[in-house]
Amino acid sequence: MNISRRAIFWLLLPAFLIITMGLVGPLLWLFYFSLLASDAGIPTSEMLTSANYARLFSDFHALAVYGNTFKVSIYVTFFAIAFGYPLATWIAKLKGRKSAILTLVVISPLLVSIVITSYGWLVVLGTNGILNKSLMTLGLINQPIKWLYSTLAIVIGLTHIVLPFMVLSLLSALEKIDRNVIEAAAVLGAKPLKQFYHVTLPLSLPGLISGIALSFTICMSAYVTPAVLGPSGPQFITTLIFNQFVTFFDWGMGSSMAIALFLLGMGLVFLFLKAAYRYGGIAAGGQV
Amino acid sequence: MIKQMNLQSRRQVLQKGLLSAVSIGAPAITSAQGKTLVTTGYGGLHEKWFRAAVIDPFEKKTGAKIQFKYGAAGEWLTSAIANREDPEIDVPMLSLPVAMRAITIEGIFLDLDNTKMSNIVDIDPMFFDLYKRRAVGFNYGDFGICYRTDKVNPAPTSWKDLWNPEHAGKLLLPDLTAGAVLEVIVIASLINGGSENNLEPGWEALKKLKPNVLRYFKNNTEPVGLFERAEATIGAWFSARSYAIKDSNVPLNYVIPKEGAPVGVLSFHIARNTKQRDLAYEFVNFAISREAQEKFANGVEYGPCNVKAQLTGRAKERVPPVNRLIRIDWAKIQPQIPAMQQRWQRDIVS
Repeated sequence: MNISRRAIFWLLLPAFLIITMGLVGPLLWLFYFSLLASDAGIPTSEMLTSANYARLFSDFHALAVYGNTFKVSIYVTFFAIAFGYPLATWIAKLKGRKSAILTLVVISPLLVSIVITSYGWLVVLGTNGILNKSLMTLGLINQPIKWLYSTLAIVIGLTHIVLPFMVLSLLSALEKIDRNVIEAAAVLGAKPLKQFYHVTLPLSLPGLISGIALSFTICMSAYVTPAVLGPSGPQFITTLIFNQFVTFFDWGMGSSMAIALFLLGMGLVFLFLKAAYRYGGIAAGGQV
Repeated sequence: MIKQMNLQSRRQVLQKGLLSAVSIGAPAITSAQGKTLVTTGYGGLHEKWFRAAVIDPFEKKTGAKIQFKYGAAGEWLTSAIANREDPEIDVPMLSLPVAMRAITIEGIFLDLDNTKMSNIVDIDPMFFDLYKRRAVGFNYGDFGICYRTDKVNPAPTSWKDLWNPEHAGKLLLPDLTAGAVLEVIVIASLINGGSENNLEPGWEALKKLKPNVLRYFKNNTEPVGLFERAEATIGAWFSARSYAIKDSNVPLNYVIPKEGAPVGVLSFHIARNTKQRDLAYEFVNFAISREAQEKFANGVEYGPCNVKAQLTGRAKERVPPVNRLIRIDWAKIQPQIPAMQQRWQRDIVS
């Protein structure tokens, strides 16, 4: 027992050190900087102040950008569920090779850099892009639609990135469901919709909730996709933070924005985990 | 292990021997030998000719190693501020609006000592005084109108042509990170009865221009694809960038509008706490020399800041002399920069 504990300590140490030095340390520094008055990244006083946060919460433009980021994250998560759930259900029913091949297809977007997938969408969604050309050839539209540089383009691009995470989380939950439980429901006279609503859905909730948590946090902190596909103005919190540092050299404001985003993300993950724990407990019959 | 050490020490002895042999013959080489200097620049044609005209010959001459970093001026200035005690970049090359901001920040860059740069006497004083002598210009480019010749007919002649409703959803303008935004605001003001002191007419005009804008591009590679695919048909852009696409056989042309084109300048700044101060001066002095300026300017087809550098051939046709360009009164713009950038973000691109 003692030996294994010591082994665990040494095994965890590298991860602990990396997280402390690479994440906690810089985060604390960022927090400290968000409490300083500064000009062009150089602190003007050593006194701590909440002025940057006061500026942030009275800045309606910035708050609107937070709201927009939140809105887009909800849309993306919704579409990820809408596309991901049927896909995961289908893959879960398949066996052996077919299931492995399909899983590989689903995670394939993760094998390509986000920068490249985003530029790919640029070509697809453009005025003279494949999508508009096809729709015009089919006679469905007379004039090209402006897909590019819109919130819709961000939603499309991010859904593409988030979908594998959603499918994988759902798959892990769906594959665990005992077929006999569903058959029992059928034997007792439940129609497919009722089977789904009363049996499959509750049992897959832990996977669904972790999928939502992943999707949400990935969306909130996405940078490349909104920058490449989104509207020109900073409508996404990450692009706004980038501008605070690199264009306005207002590091105080940028730091406070980053900390606010971090706390928001942490809060959401906490809520989702709490929910997953609760429903997970029910789904597993009290065993978590 | 022992064998390896032997080899290594043997190599060291050889190196030292070589070094001392060389140092007798050419003292200049040993002073910079083995030293690395970090500078910055842009990809594509710029990099190709910067390497050919400045980096390679400088390395050959001094034995120093020049490291070239990609990115954008705003990022380099951010790095210069963050790492001011121990600079990551010794000689950042900044573009005009960022450079204007950079020279107002104390303790980041050196006040340049012209006694350490013998070639400064050949530099058009405008490109030194502009920066209050805290930076020196490397080259200048004109910022005019680029358009698809197969889509825009007749060709644009005035900045006012950008407001033509025919270009709805087809126009490209720079965003803050791509440079030249301040120039666009000033031009919009100048052609609508305003001035550097009165930018209101410009703001009004730019708001009216929004329906025409396809994209406020965030970097100077974004327009390349958009022009090639004819998503964009007209845009405000730098001459050499436009010509680079034209030369790849895209039906594109570039014009200097009749009101004139503002000038974009790239400038060298030296980090105050660089450990290679002498080498940094030597590098800057080399880059502003007549030979380097001539080779770079003729290659990239941008204007040299060295008045003795001669343009030839196609570069001579394409690069306008400094006096044909709009000279923006930067002294008047400088205090307004943060407010202008904020307003641009809120009222124009959002």
